[in-house]
Amino acid sequence: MNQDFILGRLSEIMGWDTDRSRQEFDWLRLMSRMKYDGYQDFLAGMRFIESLADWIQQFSPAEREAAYGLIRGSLVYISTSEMNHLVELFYPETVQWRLQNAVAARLGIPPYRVWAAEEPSKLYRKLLRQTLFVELSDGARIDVFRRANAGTISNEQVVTAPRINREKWDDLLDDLRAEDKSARFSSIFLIDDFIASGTTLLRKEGDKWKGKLARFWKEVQEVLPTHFESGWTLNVHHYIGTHRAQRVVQERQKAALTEHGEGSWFNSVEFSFGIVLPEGTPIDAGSHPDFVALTNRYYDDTIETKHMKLGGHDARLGFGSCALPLILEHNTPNNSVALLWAETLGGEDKHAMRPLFRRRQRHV
Amino acid sequence: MENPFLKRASEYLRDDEAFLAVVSPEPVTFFLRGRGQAGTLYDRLLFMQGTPGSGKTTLARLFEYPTLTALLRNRSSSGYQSLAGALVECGGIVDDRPAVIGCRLTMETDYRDFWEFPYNETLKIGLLTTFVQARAVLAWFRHLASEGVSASRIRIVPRSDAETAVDAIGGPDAEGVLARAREVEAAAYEIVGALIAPREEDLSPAVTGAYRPFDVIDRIEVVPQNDATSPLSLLPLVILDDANVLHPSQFRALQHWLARRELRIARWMIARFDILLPQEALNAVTEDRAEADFPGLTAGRDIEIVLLQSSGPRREQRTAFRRMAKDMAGRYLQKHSLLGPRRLIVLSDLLSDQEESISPSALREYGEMVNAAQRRLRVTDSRREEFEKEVDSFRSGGRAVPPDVRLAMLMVLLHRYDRRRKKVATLFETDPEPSRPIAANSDVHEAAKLHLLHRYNRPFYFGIDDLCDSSSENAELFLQLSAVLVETVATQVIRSKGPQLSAGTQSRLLRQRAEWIINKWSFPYFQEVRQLVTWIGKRCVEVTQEPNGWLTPNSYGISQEEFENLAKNYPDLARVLQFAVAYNAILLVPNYKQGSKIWCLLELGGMVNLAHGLSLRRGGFLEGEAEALAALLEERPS
Amino acid sequence: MSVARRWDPCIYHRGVHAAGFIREYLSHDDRRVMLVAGGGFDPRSTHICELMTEVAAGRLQGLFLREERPGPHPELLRRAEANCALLRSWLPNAMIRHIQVLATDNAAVGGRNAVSLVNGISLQGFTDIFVDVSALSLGVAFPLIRHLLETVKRGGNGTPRNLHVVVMDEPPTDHAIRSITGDLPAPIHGFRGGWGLHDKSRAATLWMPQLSRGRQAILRQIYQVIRNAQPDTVVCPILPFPAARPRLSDELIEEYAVELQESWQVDARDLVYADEKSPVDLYRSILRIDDARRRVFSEVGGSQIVLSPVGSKALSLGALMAALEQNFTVMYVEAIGYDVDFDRLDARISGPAGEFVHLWLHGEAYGTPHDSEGAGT
Repeated sequence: MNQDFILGRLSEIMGWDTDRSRQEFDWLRLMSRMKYDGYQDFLAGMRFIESLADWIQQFSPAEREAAYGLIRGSLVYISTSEMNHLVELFYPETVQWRLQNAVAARLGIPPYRVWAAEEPSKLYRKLLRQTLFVELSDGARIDVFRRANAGTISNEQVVTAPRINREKWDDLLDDLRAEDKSARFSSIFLIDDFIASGTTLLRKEGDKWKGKLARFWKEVQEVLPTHFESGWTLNVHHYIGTHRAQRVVQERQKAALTEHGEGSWFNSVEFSFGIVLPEGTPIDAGSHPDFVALTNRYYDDTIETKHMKLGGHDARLGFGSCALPLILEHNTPNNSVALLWAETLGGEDKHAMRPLFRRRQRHV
Repeated sequence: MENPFLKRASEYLRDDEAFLAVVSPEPVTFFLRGRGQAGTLYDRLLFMQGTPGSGKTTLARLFEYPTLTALLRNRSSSGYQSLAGALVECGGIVDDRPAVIGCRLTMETDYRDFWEFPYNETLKIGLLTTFVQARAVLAWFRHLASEGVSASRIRIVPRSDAETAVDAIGGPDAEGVLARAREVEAAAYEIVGALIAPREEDLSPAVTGAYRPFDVIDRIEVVPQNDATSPLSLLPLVILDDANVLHPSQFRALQHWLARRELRIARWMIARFDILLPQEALNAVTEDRAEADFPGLTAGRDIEIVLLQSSGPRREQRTAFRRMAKDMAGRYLQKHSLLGPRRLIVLSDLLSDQEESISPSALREYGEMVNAAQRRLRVTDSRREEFEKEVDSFRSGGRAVPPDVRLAMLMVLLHRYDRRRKKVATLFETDPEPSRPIAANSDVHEAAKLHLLHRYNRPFYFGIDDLCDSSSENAELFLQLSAVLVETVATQVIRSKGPQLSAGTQSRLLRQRAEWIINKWSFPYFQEVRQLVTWIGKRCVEVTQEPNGWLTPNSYGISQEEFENLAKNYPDLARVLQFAVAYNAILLVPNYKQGSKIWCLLELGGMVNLAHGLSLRRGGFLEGEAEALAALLEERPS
Repeated sequence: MSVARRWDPCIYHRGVHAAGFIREYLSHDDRRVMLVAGGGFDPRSTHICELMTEVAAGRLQGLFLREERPGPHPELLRRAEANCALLRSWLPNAMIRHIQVLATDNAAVGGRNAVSLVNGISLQGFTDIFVDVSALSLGVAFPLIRHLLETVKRGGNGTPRNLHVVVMDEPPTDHAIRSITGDLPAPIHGFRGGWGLHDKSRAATLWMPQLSRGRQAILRQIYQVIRNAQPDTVVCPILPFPAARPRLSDELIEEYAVELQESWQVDARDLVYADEKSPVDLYRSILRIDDARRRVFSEVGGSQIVLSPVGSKALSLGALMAALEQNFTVMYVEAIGYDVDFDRLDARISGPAGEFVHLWLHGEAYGTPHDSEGAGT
């Protein structure tokens, strides 16, 4: 009954007639129940439809249809079960394939022979044990990853802290050597949930390379000769990536390698993604002219932080102007269009932005 | 918000109580009471036919043992009393106890598959009947077990002339009967499931032996747990649902086999119309029910036929359907999460039957058109006045007609007059008399309203009776049409508006919904069916729009003789028609006498009538020929 | 993963990897290959044969099944003839056989007919059987694969050791070919999985329909049959995720709104996701659910899973593998004909090409050329 009440108010706010109301109510009930109500930051009694009613009211009546239209027609919402599924897919579809090929290469056999005999199967198990999985942020859902691969990947191979100190490295090696005294690590998978602009992972500031990959390079130097096999490989996996990021990270890796020179940077990095958001996902004035106008009219630049400015633009279309209509159930990325997530106090001619999917700041 | 109208009755099967709460007693009373009282429900083969959604399975389900016992458990609560009463009248309940133990076996493809085996026909039919019998026995035991009756408390009472055959079904102990049935079922299932059929000589004796429980069993008795009650003696009833899945030869053989008069158990077969080859399917609805003659069987004496859709006593059936639909709508509204608690549970109250007139400017424009027509047709003012008086004295539902309908009726009368006046006299006479009197009757009224619908989109379909009549006497279609109305009522309530839907809203929603349903058709040959009914529908619209309103058709008539040779002369058309009838796109009205000719009418289904804007009244038809329809189908739908 | 699965790991390739595999694998002179495929109007009828002919000419035999349905469109016949002529030009000795898919009363008999036909053909001397399901209906392909799997597992002198399934995954082609379905939902021949048995009458039934565009009517029909037999059926629909279009599963939720909310009463937590491009992922997803349910219902009547793979051909192979492994029921409605948008069909030839999917079901890759029970690792 509560939901019916707020639907009635929403139809007033939107100025819908009965026919339109009936159609939209159907959709709103359905999607809130099947997906949107699961957003982690919603409060009791203030779930999707209530938040929508609140959010829509910040716009003038004439603009509301454009705002609603974005939600109705373009929002990409990744639910927890979808995200978990991307985590579950990671080992069988990415890791296994990589290692299977590695085994085949070492033994000089075709990859399809790896399971046919004992020797390659054994080598596969060995290489798997020599692999480390490192989460780059708490979005990497390492708990889900562990559960999905219990019995296949041991807990000692999974590193949850983004920064690994020397002591930790030694512990990891000790664990590895519990079975094989001379073993070293042969591959690493860095895992994160989401990549949009590529800035956080790898960027050039002035003449310096920065970002998580640069930091990891520094951290790993100390233990490379002692803890790693010489031909070790680095893999970077994101559960979700944008079309743009998929291209950018390859280019930056190449540039960084060229600039640093071999031996002073990762020789090769294999990038992989659970899902790549297609090229047309970001909104722009061509695809969503009315909504882009709203992002200009209702923007309050107090949301901009120093961190955000790294993206090079203001944040009205999100960090790095990624312009994504994307919501992740556990938190909205700051690369999404600011109107979806930003919350400000307003004042001095500035609009007090109200979020539809409130964003929790994540510091990494 | 849950809208129960979006579910089929059979989707309430999960829970006996919930199922019973939405079932109306009307169809039980209408279709079965008379037969129950005459004793023909249980002593011979009962053959029930209807389109999908006509309520066949719901009827059958009522006689299943767990449903009957659930009904008895709840009989004191008001929602179930009428239903329990109906079952008492049919002999399903006697002295507040179940009298029959019904089990429904869906004739899934398991049974059909026997036909594909490389064995002789006798063996194939034997395997089929063996399988059916084993499953019926298992189902009877299962139903009793679900009521807490273990096999040890069950007594199989054999027919007095079959006591010696008890061993062959695993008897005399009920446990033995159950075990044997299990063994037979497993053996038959293995054959059906095998990728490659086993050789005949490898078949298990369990399936080839003399397993004939239907010939042995007379009653099933339940021994009471204490001495306080008397044993419960139940008449076993087997209901073979969806028998249309069987191969036609299997179907006929099974029918023959079940129609044997020496059987003591009750047996029903339920099928859709498209069960047989086209000619046979069409015959099933065209034959006069009292004289239907199945091969080797006499309907009436050996087979009792129940047709769940229009054919035969049509007026009576339409009235019965309206009663059932209204009752069902009330039951569904009670379950509606928003409307139920608000006691908005009488559908007819939610559907306004107040006519809505065209706008004043349209009325003015139309008045001008009538004046122009009068001038063009050279009708004198006094003659027009006479017609106006005629219209003014016409009453519809006890009321005079509103101004727009009045004008439209006048328009019809002017044109009728033009047709009927003596042409030869026009040169000399300025106001000739018509050849027949021009009356403002209900036909003129209907035509006038349809003219306004087509010209000004004046609401035509509204009120509960129109809703019922446009449902082709099909419960599922009724629910589908109602669903959108009920959802709109709920939306109005949510928006703090009054719950009642105006005539305009109803008419618009019903027509949209009908178009949507037709667009979503997905059954064999649906494209051809759509092509056929669209063609007929368009022609009916053309005639409906004729200014003298001489006919408001919604059917296409071909001669009965031509119809009877359809499968032979136009097999493709016959097949398309078979599915059109099976899925309510067309209703057949055979042996329709008009003038000196006997016609078979292809009456458009309710959805088609709504979508095209045709009359819901029956009987108006375009005279045609099968050849025209067959030629139409040769132009393939794109 | 705690439970050993027959196809985990699975030798499976997609796209360039699949084509690469076929080129490399068939280049060995000792490979003698029987290709079983559809020989119909579907443009995908010829792709894999063409590729195989390039690398294994002289060592390749073809068995092409022409599915026949009543009253075909003349253009469909013309295209089928053209495709068969092409196949014959590559493989002059190829066997082209007709299969009646429907009996006179529209009952689906294609699977049964296909199995008995293939059963009568000698496979002696071949090392590998490839079944290309691109242009076969599931009602024919599934029983055929089950039969061939049993044959290679049983082994014996001269019988092939390896069974592969290939499919051209080409969604635009799927969209251009709309099947006109009959109205008799039924388990696919050989995939009854105990459906209807008295002993399964208390089993907790779970139906896992694969949602895809425009298949509502079929799924409604199937559900009617299941629900009529098992009133307590729980529905866990399978949605494509990840998918090339990330909103696809939301769009499907919207398309199936009435089913999800009213008829099937699906809880949001019961939505199952499977990678649009990976049959093996679907296989794993189904079995994961089965494992859990088996434990829960082990003492109270058991669990029964019913699959309805009405989505893409490639994904249906995942359902096939799961059904083969755990003897699930596969409920399906056979097409009685096809309504083909020829313009769209021809347009795809200039559009983006589809991707091969290859699944190795049994044989050397698993170290078990012949065995009596399972190919586990």
